[in-house]
Amino acid sequence: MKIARLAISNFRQYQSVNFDFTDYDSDFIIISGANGNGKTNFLNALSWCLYDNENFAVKDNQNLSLVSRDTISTASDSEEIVTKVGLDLTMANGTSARVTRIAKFKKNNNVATQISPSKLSVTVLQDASKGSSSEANPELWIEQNLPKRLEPYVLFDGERLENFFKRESAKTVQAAVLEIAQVDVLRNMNSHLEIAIEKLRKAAASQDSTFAIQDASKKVEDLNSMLGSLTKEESALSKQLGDLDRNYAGIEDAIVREKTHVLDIQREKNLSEQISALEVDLSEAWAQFAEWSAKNAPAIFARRALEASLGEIEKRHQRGELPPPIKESVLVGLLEHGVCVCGSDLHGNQERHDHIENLLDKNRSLGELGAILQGMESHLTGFMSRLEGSEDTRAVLQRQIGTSRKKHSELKVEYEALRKRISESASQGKSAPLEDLQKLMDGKDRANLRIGEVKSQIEIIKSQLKTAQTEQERLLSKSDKAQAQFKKLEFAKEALKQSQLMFKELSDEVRLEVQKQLDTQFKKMIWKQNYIERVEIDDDFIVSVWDKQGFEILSTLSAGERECLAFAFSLALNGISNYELPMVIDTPFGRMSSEPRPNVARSLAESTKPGEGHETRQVILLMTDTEYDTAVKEALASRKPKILNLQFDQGNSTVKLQGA
Amino acid sequence: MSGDRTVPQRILKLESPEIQRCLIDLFRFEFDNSERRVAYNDYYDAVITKHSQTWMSPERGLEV
Repeated sequence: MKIARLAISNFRQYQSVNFDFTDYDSDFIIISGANGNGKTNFLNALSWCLYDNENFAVKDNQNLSLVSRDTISTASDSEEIVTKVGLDLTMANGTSARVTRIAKFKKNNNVATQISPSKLSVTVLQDASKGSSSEANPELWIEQNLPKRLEPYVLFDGERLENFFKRESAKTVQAAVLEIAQVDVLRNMNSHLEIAIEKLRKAAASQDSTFAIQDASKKVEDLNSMLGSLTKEESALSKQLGDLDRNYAGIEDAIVREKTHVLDIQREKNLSEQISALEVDLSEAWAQFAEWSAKNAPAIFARRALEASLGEIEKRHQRGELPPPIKESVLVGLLEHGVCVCGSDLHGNQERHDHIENLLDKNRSLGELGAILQGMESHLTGFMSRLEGSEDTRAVLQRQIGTSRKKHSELKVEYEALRKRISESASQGKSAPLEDLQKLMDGKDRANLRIGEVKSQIEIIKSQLKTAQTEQERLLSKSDKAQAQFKKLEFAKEALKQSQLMFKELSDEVRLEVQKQLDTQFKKMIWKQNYIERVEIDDDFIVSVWDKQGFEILSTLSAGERECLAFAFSLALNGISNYELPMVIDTPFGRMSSEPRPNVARSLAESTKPGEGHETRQVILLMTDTEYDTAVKEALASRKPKILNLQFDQGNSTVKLQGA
Repeated sequence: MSGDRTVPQRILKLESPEIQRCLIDLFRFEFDNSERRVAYNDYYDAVITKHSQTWMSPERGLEV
C-alpha cells in the first residue's frame, strides 16, 4: 500500500495544500520544514482522515479547532467552513482507493464550532473498465485495509517513539504480531469455542435432573460466574492501567511545558533586572555626558569659531584680498627714508606716500586683531590640550552609551517575546503536573496491587473450577439421559484442545520470526553493535534486549536506541505481514545525537528497499533541516529521495508546499 | 482484513477427520467474519453437532 496523494484543506495551518507523490520515481519522500511549519499536522491530517483522531497533537492543541486560523479570520460571521482531508491510496493488488473525511464548522464570534460529526467516505477504483464504487461501510473498509490497531506501526512520531517499549506494552506487541500474521483468527475461534463448550456443558446437565449432577453443575456455574466477574475486573483494571499510561505521556508533556514556563518566568525576571540595570547605567552615562558637554561645549564652540576665523584669514591672504604680511617697522622705515622698495620717491609722490600710509594703518589694525586672536588661540590651545585629555572620557561615554543602547534594545526584544509566551502559556490554564503525576502514580500503584490480588484469585478459582468440571463430566459420562449432549461437549473440548495447540505453535512461530527480524534490524541500526547480544520476545510477548555481559538493558536504552527498536519492530512486522504498509515518520532523528543518525537512516533506506518476497515500502520522513544534515543526506542517497519543503507564510498563517 | 482463507497446514494434518472438518469450518467462519460482530452461537452449535455425530473420542473408542 502506498500513499499516492494527500489533499488537506482548512486543517490547522493547512489552508489548501496538495501532496502528490505519484509524480516521483522514488518511494522515499522527505518533507522538510522548520518547527511549526506543519510537519506534525501532516501526520495528524492522515490520522484524522483515517481514524477521526489526532494522535500526534500536543495535549493543549487537542482542544483547538481543526480549522486553520487564517480561514476563521477571513470567513464572515455565520459562514460555514469545511475542513477536508482526502487520501488516495494505491493498494498492493493494483486497485486504488480514495478516503475522504469532511467536517463542517460555523464561524461565530471568531470561533469555528463544529456543527456536525465528521463524515468518512471511501471510493474504490478496481480498474478503469469497472469504474469506481462507493463503499457502503467506509469504516469497515478502513478496518479491513488499514486497521487502527496497526496505526502505531504506520504513523510514527519520532519524538515519542522512545515510549514504544517503555511501559506495559506486551499486550500491544502481542496484538500487533498476531493481528499482522493473522493468527488472531485462531484466537477468536478458540474464545468462541470456549463459550460454546460452556453452553454444551449446561445443555448436557439440563438433560439429567439427578441431585448429584445438578449439584455439580451448580458448583461449576457458580465458579464460572465468579471467574467471569474477576476476569471482567482484571480487564477493567488493565484498561485503567492503559489509560493511566496514556495520561502519563500527557503529564510528561505538561511537566515539560511547566518546566519551560518556570524557566521562562525566571528568565523574564533575570531579563527585567538586566534591563533595569542597563537603564540605570545608560542614565548615568547620559548624565556624565551632559556634564562633560556643559563643561566643555563653550570652549569647543570658541575653538571652532577661532579656527574658522584663522582659516578665513589665511584664505583671504591667499586670494590677495588682505595685504601681504609686512612688518610695521619696514613700512615706517620706508616713509622715513622717502623711498619705496620699488624705487619710487615717496616725498614727491603723494599718491605713493598715501598708499604706504594706508598699508601701515591696515597693518596696525590687523596686527591688533592678530594679537588678540593669537592671544585667544594660545589660551584656547592650552585649554584644548587639556580638553583632548578629556576626549577619551567623551569617547568612552559615547561607546558606553552606544553599547548599552544596543544591548538594551536586544534585551527588550527578547523580553517582549518572553512576556508574550508567558502570557499565552498562562492563558492556557494553570495546571499542576507534578500533583497530577503523583495522583497518577498512586492510581497505578493501587491498580497494580488490585490486579495482583485479582490474578491470584483467578488462579485459585480456575483450579477449583477444573476440579468441579472434572467431577461434573464424570457424572455426565455415566448419565444415559445426557449422553447425546455429553458427546458433543467431549467433541468440542477435543476440538478446542487441538486448536489451542495450533494457536500456540503458530504464535510461537510468528513470535520467533518477528524476534529474528527485530534482532537483525535493530543490530543494523544500532551504533553499539558490539555491545548488544540479542533482542528477545518471550512467550508473553515481552520484549527484552540483552548485552554481551548477560544483562537485560531495555530500560537503560537511550531515547535514540528506543526509537531504533521501534523502527526495527515496525520493519519486522512488515516483514511477516501480508500488508505492505507505508511508514510515515515525523521527526525521526529529533531525539538522536548526530552520531547514530546516519546508521539509522541507512538502515531505514536499505530495509524498505524491494527485497525477496516484498515490494518497496513507501517511506515518508518529516524532518527539520537540522535533522536532514549532510551525513543523513548521504545515508539516504541510495533511495534517491524526493524532497519537498513546507514553508510557513507568517503573513496569513498558512503552509505552502515547495518542491526543493 | 487482507490475506487469504488458507487454512493452516496444522489443521489439515490432524488425525481425526471430524475434528479437522469442524476446525476448517470454524476457521473459515471466523476468517470471513473477522471484521464484524456476528452471532456465532448457532453456527458453532450446528458445526459441532454435525461433526460430532460420527466422532468417537479415544477414551470412548476404547470403551466401545
